[in-house]
Amino acid sequence: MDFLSNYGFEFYPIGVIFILIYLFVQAIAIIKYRLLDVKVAVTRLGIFLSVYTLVLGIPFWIGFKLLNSGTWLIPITLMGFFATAGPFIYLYIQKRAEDRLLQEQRRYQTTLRQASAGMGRIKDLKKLLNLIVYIVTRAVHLEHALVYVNDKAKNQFVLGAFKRRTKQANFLTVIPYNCPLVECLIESSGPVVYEEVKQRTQDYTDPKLMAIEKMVAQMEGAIVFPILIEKNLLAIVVLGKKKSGQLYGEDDLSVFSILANQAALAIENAQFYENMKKTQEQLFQAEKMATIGTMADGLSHQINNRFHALGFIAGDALDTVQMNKNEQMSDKLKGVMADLEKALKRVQENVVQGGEVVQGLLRYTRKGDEGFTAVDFDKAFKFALEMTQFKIKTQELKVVRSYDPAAIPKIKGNATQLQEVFFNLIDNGYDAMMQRKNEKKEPGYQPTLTIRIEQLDGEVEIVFEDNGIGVKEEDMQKLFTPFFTTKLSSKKGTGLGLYVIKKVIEDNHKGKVEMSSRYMVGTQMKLRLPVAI
Amino acid sequence: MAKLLIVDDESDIREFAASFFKKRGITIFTSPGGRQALDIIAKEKPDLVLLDVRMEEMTGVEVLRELRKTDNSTKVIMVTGVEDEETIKEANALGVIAYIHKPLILEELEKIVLIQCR
Repeated sequence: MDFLSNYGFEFYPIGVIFILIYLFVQAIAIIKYRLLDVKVAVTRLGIFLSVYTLVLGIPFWIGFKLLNSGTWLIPITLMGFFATAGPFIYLYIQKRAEDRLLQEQRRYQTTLRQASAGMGRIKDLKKLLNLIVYIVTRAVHLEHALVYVNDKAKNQFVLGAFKRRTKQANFLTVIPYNCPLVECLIESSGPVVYEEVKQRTQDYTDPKLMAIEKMVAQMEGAIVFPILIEKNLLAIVVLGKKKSGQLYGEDDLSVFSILANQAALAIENAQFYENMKKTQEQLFQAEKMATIGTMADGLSHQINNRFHALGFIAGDALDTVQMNKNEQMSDKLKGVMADLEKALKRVQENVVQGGEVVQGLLRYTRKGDEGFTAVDFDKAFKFALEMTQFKIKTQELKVVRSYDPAAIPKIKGNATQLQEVFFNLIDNGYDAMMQRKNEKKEPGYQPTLTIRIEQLDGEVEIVFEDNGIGVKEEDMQKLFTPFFTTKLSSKKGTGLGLYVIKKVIEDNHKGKVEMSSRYMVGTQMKLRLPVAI
Repeated sequence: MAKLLIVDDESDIREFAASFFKKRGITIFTSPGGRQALDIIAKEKPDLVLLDVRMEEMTGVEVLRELRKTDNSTKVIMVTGVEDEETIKEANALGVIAYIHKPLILEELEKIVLIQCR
C-alpha cells in the first residue's frame, strides 16, 4: 500500500493513509459480517499478548538491563520463536500418535457396528454362528475360533461354526452341559482367560479349575466367553491365540462383552424363529391330520355305502349269470357268460379291498379311554404274529424276541388296537425284508425281525428292528401321511399302516412313535407306551 | 316261505338284495326307514330283519330299541359301516343275532340269511 513513494510521490504522512484505510475496511468487514467473533478474538489476543509479554518480555528486559550486549539476542529470539511454535507442533504430533494408537479401537468400533447391523437380520442359526466366528476372527485376527451352541434336547453344546488354521486336526465337537467350564461361565457370566486359569491351577490344586484348564487347552483356546441371557447359556465362543502373538487386553475383553450381548440377542432371535417355524410346520401337519380325520369319518361312510351297493349290484348280477348259464347255450354265449362272471367277481374283489381301506382309516379316527386294560405285550405280540401268518411264510422270517416275557410290565392300552399296531409293524418289516431279498438277492441274507424292550420310568420302550430295505431319506417325511405308500404295488399296501400306528400310539395311548431308518441297512421303530398301574 | 325284511336307506341296496333273495324263493319286504320298518314287522312278522345302523330318519339302534319294547322274538342282524363299541354294546344288549360289516358280498350274506331262515 505504501507504494506511491516508489513512484516519486512523497507526500507523507498521507501515503500511510492507505494502510490505515485497508485496516479500517477489514475491521468493518469483520464487525459487520461477523467474520470473527470479536470478543473471542480480542480475548485470545489479550491473553496471548499478556502471557507472551510476561514469558518473553521478562527475559528480554533482564537481558537488556543487565548484560547490555547484543550477542545473547540470537539464542533468546530463537527460543522465543520455538516456544511460540512449540505448542502447535506438540498438538500435531499428539494427534498423529493418538490416531495410530486408536486405530485398533476404531477397527473394533467398525466391526461392532457391522456386527450389530448384520446379526439382527440373520434368522438362520447356522449362518448366524458363521457370522459370529467371522466377526470375532476379523476383529482380532485370530488363529482359530469355535462356537458351540446349546442343544437343550441333548443337554450339551454342539460345535456350530468354526474357523481353524490349516492342518489343525480335531476339536472337541461337543461340550456336555454338566461340566466345570459351563458352570464357571454361567456363574461368572464373564470370559474365562486361559492364562489366568493356568496360573491359578499352579497356585491352588482345585480339581474344577484343573478340569477347566484341561478342556480349554484341548480346544486350544486363549479365551472362552459365554453368550448368555440372564442365566441361560445360549452358546460358548472359544477364541484361539491372536495371530500377532499379543495377549488379550482390556480393550479386547470389553469388545467381546459387547459382542456377546449382541450375539445373545441374535441367537435367541434365531432360535425363536426356528422354533416358531417348526411349531408352525407341526401345527400345519396336525391340522392336515385333523381335517383328514373329520373328512374321513363322513366321507368313508359315504364311500363305504357305495362299495356296499356296488357289491350287491355285482353280486346279484353274478348270481343271475350263474343261475342262467347252461349247457344248451351257444359257445359264443357261453364265452360271454364266462367273461361276465369273471368281470363281476373282479368287481366284488375290488369292493372288498376298497372296504378294507375305508375300515382301516375309520377304525382309528375315534379316541377315548374305553377298552383300556393292562395288556400283556408278549401275548398281544404273539397274537399279532399269528394274524400275519396268512401272509407271511414263517420259515422266511426269523423273529427274535430279545426280552424276558415275565419281566416286562403290562401296558396300559387297548389290546385290539395294540395288536393291530404290532400286526402292522410285523407286516411292514416283512415287506421291507422281502423287498430287499427279492431285489438285491444278496447271498446269505437272513431276514430278521428283532424285538427289544426297555423299561423306563412309568413307560416301556418297545423296539421293532428289521434288516430290510430301509427307507430312502426323501420318503421319511411323508411316511406318516395317510395313503402314502412306498410298497411297489399299491395293492400291497393301503398306505395307512404307519398313519394308524401313529394315531393309535400317540393319540389314543398318549405314547410316542419314533422311527429311524437307513436305506439298505434296516428300519427301527420305537414305541413308548405307558405302563399299567 | 321265509320272510326277509331289508331296512336300508339306499335304494340300490334294497333293489338288488331283494332281487337276489327273491331268486331263492324268499319273500322280501324292503323299507327305506325305521317307521315303515316297524309297521312291516308288526304286520308281516318277518323271520329275519337286516337292519342298517346309519340311517337318516331313525338310526338302526333306535329302530331296534323301539322294536324290543313290544317284540323280543324277531331276529335282527345289524349291518354297519364302522365298528362303534357303544353301538355294538347297546345292540347286543337289545338282542341281535349278528353284527355285520359293509361292504358285504352277497354270497356271504346268503349263507347267514339261509341259516337263519330255515
